[in-house]
Amino acid sequence: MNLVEKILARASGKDSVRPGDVVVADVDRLVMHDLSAYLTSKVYEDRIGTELPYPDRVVTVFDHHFSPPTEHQADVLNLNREWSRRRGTRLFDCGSGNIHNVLMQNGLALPGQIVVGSDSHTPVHGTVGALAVALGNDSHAGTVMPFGKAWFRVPELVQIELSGDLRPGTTPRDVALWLVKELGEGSVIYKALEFTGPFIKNLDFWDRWLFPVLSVDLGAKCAYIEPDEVTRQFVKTLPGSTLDGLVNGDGDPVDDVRRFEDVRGSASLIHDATVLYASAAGGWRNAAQSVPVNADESRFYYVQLGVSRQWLASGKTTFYVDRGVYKNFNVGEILSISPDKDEVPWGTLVDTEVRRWGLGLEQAVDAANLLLYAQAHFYDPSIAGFPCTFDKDPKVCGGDPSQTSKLPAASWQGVVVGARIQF
Amino acid sequence: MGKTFAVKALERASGESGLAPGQIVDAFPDLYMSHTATWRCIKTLEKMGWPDLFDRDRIAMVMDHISPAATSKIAGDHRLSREFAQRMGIKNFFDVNAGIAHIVLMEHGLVKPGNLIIGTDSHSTIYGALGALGTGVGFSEITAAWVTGKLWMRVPESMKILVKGPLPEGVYPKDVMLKLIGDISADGATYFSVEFHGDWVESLSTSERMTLCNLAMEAGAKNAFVPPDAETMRYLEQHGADMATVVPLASDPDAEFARTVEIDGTTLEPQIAVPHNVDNVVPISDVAGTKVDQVFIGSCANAKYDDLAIAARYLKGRTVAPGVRLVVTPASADIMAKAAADGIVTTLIESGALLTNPGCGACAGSGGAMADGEVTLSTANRNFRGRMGSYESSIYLSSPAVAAASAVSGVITDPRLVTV
Repeated sequence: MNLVEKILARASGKDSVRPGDVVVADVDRLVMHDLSAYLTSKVYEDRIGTELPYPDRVVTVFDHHFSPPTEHQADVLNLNREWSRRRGTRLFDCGSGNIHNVLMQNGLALPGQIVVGSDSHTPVHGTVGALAVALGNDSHAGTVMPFGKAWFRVPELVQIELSGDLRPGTTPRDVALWLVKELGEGSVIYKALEFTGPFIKNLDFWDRWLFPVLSVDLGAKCAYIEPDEVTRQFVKTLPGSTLDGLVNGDGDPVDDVRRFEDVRGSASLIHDATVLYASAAGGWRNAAQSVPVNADESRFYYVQLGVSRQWLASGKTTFYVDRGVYKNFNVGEILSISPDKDEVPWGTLVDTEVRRWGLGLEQAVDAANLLLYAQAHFYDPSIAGFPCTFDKDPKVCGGDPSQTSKLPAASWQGVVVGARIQF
Repeated sequence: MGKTFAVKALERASGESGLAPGQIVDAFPDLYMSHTATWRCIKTLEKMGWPDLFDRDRIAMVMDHISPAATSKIAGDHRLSREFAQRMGIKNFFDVNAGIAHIVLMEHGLVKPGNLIIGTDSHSTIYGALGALGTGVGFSEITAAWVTGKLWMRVPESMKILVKGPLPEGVYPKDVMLKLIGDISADGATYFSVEFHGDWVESLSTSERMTLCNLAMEAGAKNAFVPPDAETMRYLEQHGADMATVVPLASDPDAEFARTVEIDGTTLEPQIAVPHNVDNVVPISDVAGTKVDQVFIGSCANAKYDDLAIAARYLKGRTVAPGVRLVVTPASADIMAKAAADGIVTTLIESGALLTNPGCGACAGSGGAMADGEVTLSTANRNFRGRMGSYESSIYLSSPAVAAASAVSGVITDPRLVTV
């Protein structure tokens, strides 16, 4: 079973559950904000109105209308305060913070728990390894408040695997936004999402938080990250926290896996009889790692063609010509804007292509297991971006992709000399 | 017979000489301030057929009343003002991040002694803290000044307020002003140029003088005035004012004051303005123990750096009473930054305060609205019925010390009873 199935099985008193099963499970936490608490408590009092059996499971956070902008909202807050006091539930008043951050930072959403809430971003608590689901006000009033329970249909799992590193100027938030575009809004309706892969595993807790929070936009029922050492260390910092409920999935094979990763490779060939030398290398990165170069993807390749032969006694000599293209690749490091404009319009680049050609010479020194090499390259960049108006203060850069234009960029030359020891 | 400050300032601004109270002159203000309602001025300009501006460098706009925008309508108003300022090359445009207009203009060296300054805000009297003649006008007057550069004014009579100090511990300039307003009533200084004099006034910081001149409006003053001195010059230099153009003006020793009011601050106790008028003032002992739902430390009267520091002193190591909301709205971004750097912000937040962005905030009804029957104790300058939400709610006015002490106890509390 995966993490969601294990949590649902335990909370519904079953040995195992499968996708499609409908279970009634014990809920550990109900969290509402000021608007939904008002509506939910109204439904509860109108239709049921008995003592709450588990008042400590119900949490309200005032975060939507604080301080109240209108008299009506001030009245709503007062009704919430009065209800919370009367029913003995926990209240975080104006100024405490955003509902989800308050819940998490107060140790009220923990690994293995079932958290339900009225805010559509409630699945964010899957970051800690909880099963967190957004329900409606009537479900909260009808089953969670009076019985501490809710019904769930066990969702199918979709694994989203991310690998690779961030480019300079890019943050996990950029990756998360890109991911929504890649997967598509409403593309995984009622699925459980597991975010995994080396990229996710290397993030700290609050960066991981950015992924389950977007599950509502994808249409998912819930999302989570398997609890690991990062999770454990984070949970230990929370007040009154416990890892007792922590569960991990069994790691069973998943049918639906979406992988997003780098591809790189190279090959070379030396044909002794004809002294022909040929080498090729290429790479591809997905769009997340191309930000802020706002392109669909980035790729590079180069080919080298030449001769390789033992002319000298010391070892083989190789001579080749080289041709390469870098499309939206490593431009942040090599970008060169014309010297009369010292402002580099960072974040406004849209499309870059750098073509290179060059010559290379390699000499092996077999006795020392040494390879000496020298390369000379000529780079010709073509860089497009939003035009910036530099005579205004503050500088204004366009944001309309249809208005991109070629930016001034100078070509440049590069010489590389080096040695490789082979062992 | 010597001349009063108001006569001298209006002679300077009108280019006329030999003015006397009661005369009407065309004066050329040095600065025209408009706040969030700038859009009204722009609409008026549109009705006038977009005539040329007299001097765009005398125009100052500050988006302070409802910031950031609470509704799309207000966002549209902001945008209209923002784009107008950009199109017209108005350099003194301060956006929603800056803070309350009056404080922001003074912090940016735009208010100088002897200046005539008009603003679309009644508390423009505050500019007298730097020896300027500041007064509130309507939106169309501001638009007229944009175009013609001038405004007609009646030369005001002058009133002298003599305050005897020092004040006892726990009593502040706000208490002096509430006492004055209570004594002379809300129309006691109507259309007077109100001048503050005496050793105690001279000993005050510019920030404290702002509280005096700000509150003078609530007694009906046309403008308020503290004679500029070395402290004034220190403030101006510190805030980058163009010192070469500073020409301080003050009343001659033998100038005629239509009325003189004396206040003995040495025996004063903290004062409270009770609902629903600012001149409904009682000593704190009369209302101590009144339950409050919300405490608001904000406004151009009392949310300056020293006000926040006073509040933090009373809140340090204490927490806001259960069920009470303490809303703190620093007067400007600079004040907020300084308070953050000095740890005051941390003290306030740790005590349970809700810290908002700088601006007018709850004082102008933006955020911190009250529900039916609620009570707010506020450091602002107005307690009119319904100003901060429900018509059935109540506002009490006090100094920041009373506000902070009361936030901890949950009832109106005399700060002199609190150990700091």
